[in-house]
Amino acid sequence: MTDIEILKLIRNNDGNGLSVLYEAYRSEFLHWIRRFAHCDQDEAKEYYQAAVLIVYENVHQGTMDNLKSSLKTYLFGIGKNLAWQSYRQDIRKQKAGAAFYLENYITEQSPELAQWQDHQLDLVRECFQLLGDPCRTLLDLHYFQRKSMEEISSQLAYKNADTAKNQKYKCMERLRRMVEERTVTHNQSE
Amino acid sequence: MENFMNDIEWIERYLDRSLSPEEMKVLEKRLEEEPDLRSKYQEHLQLIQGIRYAHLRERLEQLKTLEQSKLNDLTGGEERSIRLIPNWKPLAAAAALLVAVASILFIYNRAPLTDRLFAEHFEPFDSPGPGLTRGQGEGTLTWKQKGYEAYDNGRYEEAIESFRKSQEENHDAIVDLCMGNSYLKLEQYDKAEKVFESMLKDHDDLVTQANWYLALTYVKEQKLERARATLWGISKSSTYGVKARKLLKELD
Repeated sequence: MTDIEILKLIRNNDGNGLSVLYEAYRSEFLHWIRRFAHCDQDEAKEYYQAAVLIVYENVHQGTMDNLKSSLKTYLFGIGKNLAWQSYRQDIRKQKAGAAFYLENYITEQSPELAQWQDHQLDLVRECFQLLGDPCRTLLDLHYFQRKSMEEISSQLAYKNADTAKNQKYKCMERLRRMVEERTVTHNQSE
Repeated sequence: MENFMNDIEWIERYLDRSLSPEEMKVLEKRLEEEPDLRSKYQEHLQLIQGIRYAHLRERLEQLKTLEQSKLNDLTGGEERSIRLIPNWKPLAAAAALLVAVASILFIYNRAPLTDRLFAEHFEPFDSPGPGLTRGQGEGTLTWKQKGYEAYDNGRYEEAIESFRKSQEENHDAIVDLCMGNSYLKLEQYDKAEKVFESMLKDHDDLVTQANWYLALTYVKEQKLERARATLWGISKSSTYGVKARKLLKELD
């Protein structure tokens, strides 16, 4: 399967897209990163999983639409950055895993959130999981998969894009309140 | 509510970079001067990043499950890391010897397995045949027709030659597919691989077929990760899905 086809599968949200990407370069990457980062097989897998998911996210965010290099070069480049970052921050000793690398990747994209509290990202994630449908699907479609309100209204059978947009605001408001309540509880318990 | 929505709409457009330069300046000035708006902006950004993170964590679980299932694979042995314990040197030496012996046995056993799988699954693609039109004698066959005629009669080298000439005149996905199959019959797997891979780059037609034969080529070449990935891609196809899933299972 070619790079273009793999990216197309992911972009079209084909359930196999992520697995196909994961399988495509797994052996080569694990072999390479073990030598590059002097790590064991388990750590190598954590790097690979994070790197694959960063590529996957970039495809959805549209930042790979004009990819100049091969997918492999891009993927290995991300792996290299993750390994360097671990080395610089000396987090290897903590046996940081893919979840940690992903958390780092997300928070680093928003320098505005300098006062981002520990576990705040996890807190939002927990609340999002409790949100239930259709809010979860709607917010995921809009903020992760970057679907327009027109696409969302047709996919979730809303009357029109404005209705979907209103629903989105309500869902965000619900999520915001849930996070606020939990943050208060969390702070009181400390 | 309306004001709140307006602010959020501005914030979203700011994050999407869809504000005009003038609008952007206005919002940035407001963000500097209005603490309430600034905290609303930060809060909103937190929620969006949290949603993205939630999606990624869900997918991470999918990859962990996939990885877990690999531990039971034929290749599982190579995945497990050795935990060092006191007095480890003799054990490590023994393990190294064991690994070396196992690897040799593994390679010797593996080759016939992939050969067997290839032999069981490889059926050459049916060419459309030379299909002579009325009044057309054998001496007036096009390169494509000559290629199909040679291919159908097992003269694969001749078929490849004719297919090459035909492709110089007019590119055709079926011709590519038959050419790749000819290489497979001639056991020139590297050339077959190139034909199928370039076919997938150049054509939108016969993509599933090309992927199927490419996967078989990878099996024969023992490029098993690539074979699996390619088979995954067509495992839901209506024409080759059953075959692809069967082969995937056998590879595991």
